[in-house]
Amino acid sequence: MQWTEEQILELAPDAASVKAGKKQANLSKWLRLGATENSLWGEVQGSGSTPYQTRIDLRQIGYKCTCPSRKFPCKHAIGLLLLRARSADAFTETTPPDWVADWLNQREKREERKANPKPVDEKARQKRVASRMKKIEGGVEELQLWLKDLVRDGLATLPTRDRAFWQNTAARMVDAQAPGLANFVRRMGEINYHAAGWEYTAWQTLTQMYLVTEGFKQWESLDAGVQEDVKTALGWPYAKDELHRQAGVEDIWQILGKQEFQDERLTTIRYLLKGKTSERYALILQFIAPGQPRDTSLMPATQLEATLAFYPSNYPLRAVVKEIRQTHPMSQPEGYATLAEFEASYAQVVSFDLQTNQLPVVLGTVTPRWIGEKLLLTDSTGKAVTVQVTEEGRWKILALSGGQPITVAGIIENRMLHPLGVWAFSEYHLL
Amino acid sequence: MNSIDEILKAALLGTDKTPPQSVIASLPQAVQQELSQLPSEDNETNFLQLSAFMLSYYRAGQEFPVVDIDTANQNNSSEIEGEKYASTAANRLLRALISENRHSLLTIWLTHCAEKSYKIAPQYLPQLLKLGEEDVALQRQLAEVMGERGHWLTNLNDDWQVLRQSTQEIWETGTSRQRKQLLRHLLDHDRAQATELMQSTWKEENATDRFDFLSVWSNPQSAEELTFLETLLQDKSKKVAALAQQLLLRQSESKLAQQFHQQCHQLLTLKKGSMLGIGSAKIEINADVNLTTWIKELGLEPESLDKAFTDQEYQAFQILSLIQPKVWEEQLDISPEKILTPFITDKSLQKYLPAWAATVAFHRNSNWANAWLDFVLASSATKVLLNNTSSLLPAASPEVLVCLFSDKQAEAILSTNNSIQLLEELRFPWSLEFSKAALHLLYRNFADRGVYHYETEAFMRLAERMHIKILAHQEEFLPPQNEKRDTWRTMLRDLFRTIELKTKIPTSFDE
Repeated sequence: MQWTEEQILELAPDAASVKAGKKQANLSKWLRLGATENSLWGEVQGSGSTPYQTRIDLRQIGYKCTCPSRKFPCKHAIGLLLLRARSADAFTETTPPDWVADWLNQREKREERKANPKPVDEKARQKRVASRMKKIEGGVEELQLWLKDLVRDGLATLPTRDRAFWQNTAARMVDAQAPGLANFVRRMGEINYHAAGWEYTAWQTLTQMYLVTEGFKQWESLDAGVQEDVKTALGWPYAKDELHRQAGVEDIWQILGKQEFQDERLTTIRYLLKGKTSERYALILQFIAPGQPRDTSLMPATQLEATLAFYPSNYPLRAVVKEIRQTHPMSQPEGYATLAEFEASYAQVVSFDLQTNQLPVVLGTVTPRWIGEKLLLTDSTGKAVTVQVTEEGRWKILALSGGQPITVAGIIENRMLHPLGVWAFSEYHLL
Repeated sequence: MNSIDEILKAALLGTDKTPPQSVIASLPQAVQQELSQLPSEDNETNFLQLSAFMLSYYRAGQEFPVVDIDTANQNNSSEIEGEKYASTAANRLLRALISENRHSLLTIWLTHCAEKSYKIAPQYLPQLLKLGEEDVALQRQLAEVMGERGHWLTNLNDDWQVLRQSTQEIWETGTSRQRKQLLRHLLDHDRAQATELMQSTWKEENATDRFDFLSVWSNPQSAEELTFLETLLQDKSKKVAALAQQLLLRQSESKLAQQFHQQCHQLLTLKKGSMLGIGSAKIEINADVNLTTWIKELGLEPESLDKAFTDQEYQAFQILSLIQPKVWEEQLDISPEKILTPFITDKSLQKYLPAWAATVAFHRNSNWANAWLDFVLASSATKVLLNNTSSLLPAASPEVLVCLFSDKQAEAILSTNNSIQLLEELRFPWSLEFSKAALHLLYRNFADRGVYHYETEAFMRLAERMHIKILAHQEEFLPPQNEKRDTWRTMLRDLFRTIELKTKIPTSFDE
C-alpha cells in the first residue's frame, strides 16, 4: 500500500530522526533500491566502508538495518520509506536478495511461534494465585478501614493531608500485592485541591476504590467479566501468554488514531482501533522506556487484517495484537447514527464498570458547528457533544465538513470528545 | 440542587456531621427504594454503599445537551458541489510544502492552481489561511482559489475576514502594513490599479504612509504617473518631497532631471590632447562651478564632511553621485570605459570613484556597471575600486556576473555576509550557467563556515531563482568525501529538495 509522507514521519522515534530520515530520502545516497508488494530494501552508503543494508517488511511493518544506530526505525529505514513515497520508479529491483528474503522468512517463523506459545504449569500457577489472593485480602480489609475513616472525617479534611499520608497507604497496598489500589491512593494524593471541582474527583476516586474492594470481597458472586475488571483494578497483571492462548478476534481493524503521553520514565502510546465486521473497539497500549525501540506496526489511518486478543473484562477494550496479516488503506469507519445511541451503549458500559472514564467512539453523522467560541458536534436530533481539540484540529474539522454531516472518531471523556480523525472526501484525515 | 451535589456536601462534612440517612431522604423515590434493599451497617459503610450506587446511577444517566439547531445553523453550511480540486499529486506536493515549511514555493503552487481553475482541497485551507494572516499577497492568491469552502471558513474566523474583503476594502480599512503589502502585490500584478488606489486616498494619508507608499510605488512608468510624481515635489512633508525628488532624478524625461542635468553638465569637462596628438584626452572636474542652488534644492551637504574634499569638491562629489551616467556619455561623447579610466588611474580623481559607484547603483545603469566590473576583472583593480563594487552589482549583466563569481576578486567583493542578499537582488531569470556560478560562489563562502540559522530562510528563497537543470549538478557542490562540512551538506540538500519540489509543481497538476 502507498503511505503518505505524514504517515511515514509518524514512525520516527523523535524529531531528530524525522530530520535525519528526510536527509536520507535522497536518491544519490542509495546504491541499490528494490521493492515487492510486501517489502522494500536498499543499500545506502554510510560512514563505514561497506554500505548499510536496509530492509522493510510492509505486511506487518518491521525494519532491519545493518547501521549501528540504536534508534528504531533508523534514519535509513525512514529515508527508504520516504523515497518509496516520492520516487517509486527508482525501486528497480523486484526480486529480494538473500539478505532480505532470509529476514522475511525469519519474521514469518517468529510470528508462527508467537501464535503457538509453550504450555504453562497450571498447578504452580494456581498456587501463586492463592498466595496472592490471601495477601490482597489483607490489603483490601485495611483499605476499607482507611476509607471509612476518610468518610467519617469528611473530604473537607483531604486538602490538609500531607504527602506521607497518601504514600504510606499506597506503600501498604503495594506490599499487599495490589498495586492498582496503590495507584488509586496516589491519584487521590495527586488531585489539585485548589482547583474547582476537586470534590467530585475525590469522591469519585474514593467511591471507585470502595467498589473495587467490595468487588473483591464478593468475588464469587460476580460475573466472570466483572471479576476480571476487579483484578485489573487491583493491578493483577494478566499474563500475555494467556492472551495468546485466546483464539482472538479476527477482523479488519481500522486504526482510528493514537495518543501519546510522556512522563519522566515512560512514553505511553494508546492506539484506538475499530473492527469493521465485529464493530468492536480496541485499545492497544505501548509502553516505551527511554532508548527502547518502538513497535511501529500500528499505523494510524490504515487498517490491519489482524487478530487481536482482548484482556478479559465486562467491557473488553484493551487488547494486544496476536497476528497481523496485511495492512490496507483505510476505509470509512462506521459509527453511532445519533448521540442517543452512544449514550445508551455508554450507560451499559459504565453501569458495570469500575474505572473506565474514556471510551472510544465513532460518530457516524455529526455536524460540526462553531457556536460561542466552542466547537460542537450535533446529531440529527440536536444533541451536541463539545469537542476538545487544538486550534489547528478545530479548523481542520470545520474545513473538512463545511458545516455538513461527517464521520468523526475520537475518545469521549466527561461528555467531551477528543477527536482523533475525520472521514471526509473518501479519505481518513488524522487530527 | 441535584442528588450528586447533596452527596458531595455530605461527603465534605463527613458522616459524623451528616449521617447518610439525611442524604437518602433527598434522593429520588426510585433510588431510595433500591438503597433500602442494601444491608444496613455502620454510617460509613452505608455512605460508601450509597456513593457506589449513585456514582453508577449518575454516570449511566448522563446525557448530552440539546442545542437549538435553528440557532446553530446560523453559520449555514458550505456547498462545494462542482468545485474541482487539484490532482492527488499536486495535493501531496502542497502537503509537503506546508509540512516542510517551504513557504516560498506556495506562491508558485497557488499560481498554477489558479491557472488551472482548481480550488484548494478543504483539509489544507486552515493551514494556508493561517499562513496568510500576516501576508496580504498570499491572501490575495488564496482568495482566488479557496473556493466556497474557503469563503465559508473565513466567515467563522475574525483573523481571516480580510480574505473576504475586496482590494478596495482592504485599501480603505487595512492597517498600514497590510496596505503596503497590498500595494506591493498590486504593483506586480496590476500596476494601474495600484496607482489608482494610491492616488485615490493620497490626500487623506498621513506623512508616514505617504512616504511608505511612495517608496513602494517608486518608479513612474507613464506620462501620467510622472505628472503625479512631479506634483509631489510640493508635498507638505519634506521627507515625501525629497523622495519624490530622488525618484524624479532617475527619470530622464522628468523636468527636474532635465533641469538638473542641464545645469550640472559643466561639472565634468574633457580636455582634448594637444594639436600634435601628444597626450591623451583628459577629464577634469570643475569643482568651482556654482552648484549652490541644487545643493540647497536637493537638501545636500554644502560643507565637506570629509577632509579629503574642499567644500566645493564635496558639493561636486554629491552632484556627481546623482547625474545619470548616460548624460556623461552624451556630453563627453566617449564610452563609459574611457570616462571611468582616469578616475581609476589618476590619483587626483580617485577620490571621486565612490560617486561613480553611487550613481551607477542609483540609476541601475547596466553599461556602466559592466564597464566597472571589466576593470575589476582586469588585474588592475584598486582597493577603492573593489570596495565600491558590491553596491552596483545588481545593475550588472548576468554574463559579467558569471565571470565575476568565478574570479579571484569575487572574494574581496562578495563576502559571506552579503552574497545571499546580493543574489536575492538579482531579479533576471537565472540561466543554468548563472545558477551554477551563483552556487559556486555560495560554496566558496559557506562550505567551510556553514549557513547560520538566521540566513537559512533567505538561502532557501534562492531555490526560486535557480534554473531547474541545476538538479543534475548537485554533486559538483558537495564537498569531497574526506571533508565533513555537515552544515553545508544539509543546506545544499535542502536547497536541492526545494528546487526539486519547485520543478514538480507544474507537472503535478496534470498527473
